[in-house]
Amino acid sequence: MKKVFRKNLLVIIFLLLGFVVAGQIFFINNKNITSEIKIIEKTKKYCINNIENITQDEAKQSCEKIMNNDYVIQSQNFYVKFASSYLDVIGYFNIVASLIIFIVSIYKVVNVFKDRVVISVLEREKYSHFIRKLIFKMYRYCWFWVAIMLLIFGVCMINSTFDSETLINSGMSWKKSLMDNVPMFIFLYLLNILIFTIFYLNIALIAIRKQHNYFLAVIKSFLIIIGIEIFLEIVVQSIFFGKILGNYDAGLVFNIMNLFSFNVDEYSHGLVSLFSFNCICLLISYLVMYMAYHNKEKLIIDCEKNN
Amino acid sequence: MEIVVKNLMKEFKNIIILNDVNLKFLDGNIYGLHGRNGSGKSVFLKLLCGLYLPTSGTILYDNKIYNFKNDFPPFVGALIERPSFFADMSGYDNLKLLASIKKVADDNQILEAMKVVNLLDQKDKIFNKYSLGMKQKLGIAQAIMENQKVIILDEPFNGIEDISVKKIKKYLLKLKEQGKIVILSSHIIDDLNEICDKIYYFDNGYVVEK
Repeated sequence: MKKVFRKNLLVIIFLLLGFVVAGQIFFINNKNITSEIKIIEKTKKYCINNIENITQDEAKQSCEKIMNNDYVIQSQNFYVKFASSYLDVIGYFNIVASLIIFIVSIYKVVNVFKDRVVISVLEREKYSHFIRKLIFKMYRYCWFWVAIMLLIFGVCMINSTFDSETLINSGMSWKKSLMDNVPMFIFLYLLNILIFTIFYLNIALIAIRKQHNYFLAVIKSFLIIIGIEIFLEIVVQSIFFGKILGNYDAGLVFNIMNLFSFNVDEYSHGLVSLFSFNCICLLISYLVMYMAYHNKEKLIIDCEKNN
Repeated sequence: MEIVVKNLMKEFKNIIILNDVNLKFLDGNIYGLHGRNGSGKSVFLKLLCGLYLPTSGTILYDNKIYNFKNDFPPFVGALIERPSFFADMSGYDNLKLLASIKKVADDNQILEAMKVVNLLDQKDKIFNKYSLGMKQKLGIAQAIMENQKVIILDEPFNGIEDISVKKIKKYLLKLKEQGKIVILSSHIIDDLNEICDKIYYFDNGYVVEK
């Protein structure tokens, strides 16, 4: 038990942080509900005292609804809770999501190169088997963000309503047809995260091909992600789609660091665009990985240089 | 088991390391490779293990080519240059991990190999706490633990005390009696003269029998 704990210490620490974040979201959601109830109670008192003086039809109708207890607490809606969680907490993790994955995943894998163990292994095993095992070893924490988000979905589901019809001017960034099917929404959201996580891990494998120091490999992987993101935002979004094609919004899908936003409303890109982009990113990363690892002799020579 | 090296050539960045090497290795013999540092002995041994690919020529194990594309000869136990193990694991755990790949060596064989190299009492020590000689011994242990038909040892006696060197040499002679092929390289000719049936001399990319 002690050995398992020691071997997986980093991921356990970050999972515990995930629990802390989920707890924070739970309290924020409850606080929002309590605040909304207080506002409704205040509004009810105001309506009772001033209903005769209200002339606007819309305002009068709202007052009558509140006085008849015919209102819906928006903050109790699952999607409102989740959107609020994103804006208040989860959104801030977009920029470090890939970094956290690199920190927990790279350590054990990079030592195979750093300690030159790959040489002893390749005297016993086919290179293709070794590469396959290496990839699966790097992928062993690919479920990390999926698990954290599943936990957060669970927290948002506690005492929640799921009716998308009653959301008033909610500014939700998801298509209504998608929101009507909660399991499908959750499944597609998590699938998007999983695909991008595997993309990040492929970038890590590309980075560690030449960089066998753990800390430098983490930094290099993160810098590659930032570099790709800068290229996508400046060259693809702003210049190509914005200036040349005159349709900046169409370029918004080209983003690899908005892991948690899942922008699929009527005004931005849809599901097809989103999943096409992330699958193409994944395919390109596999192609680059093949180019980095197909030469066994070069890999051995690079590892032999390590002390 | 017969290893035949035919017209082997290896170059790196237009520098010829090995040039038209033709050698034969037969069962029940210990072969020595001698030459100054940088003469190509380690490169030759890496080619035999399948770690490097020849620029031209072939290496045949019982008339079968293994050193092609990404294959490796499965009946070779080797120590090439510096021993390669996980720094934060014990000597024994490192050997167990390597043994788990082919699954031909059990715990007893691993312990027996560590006994041969006089490392049994240090088996639970973390690898990065080993001295140079102890690391070298562990490297020899991983080469012999799986009872392979071909044992390849690159400068095996570096940093090892005399008493252990004697024990290892005795063990290598025992392997020869069992009909195995043992190939070891050294820049110290006395080590090779003591146990080798044949010694090949590497110089400027060429190999001659001594």
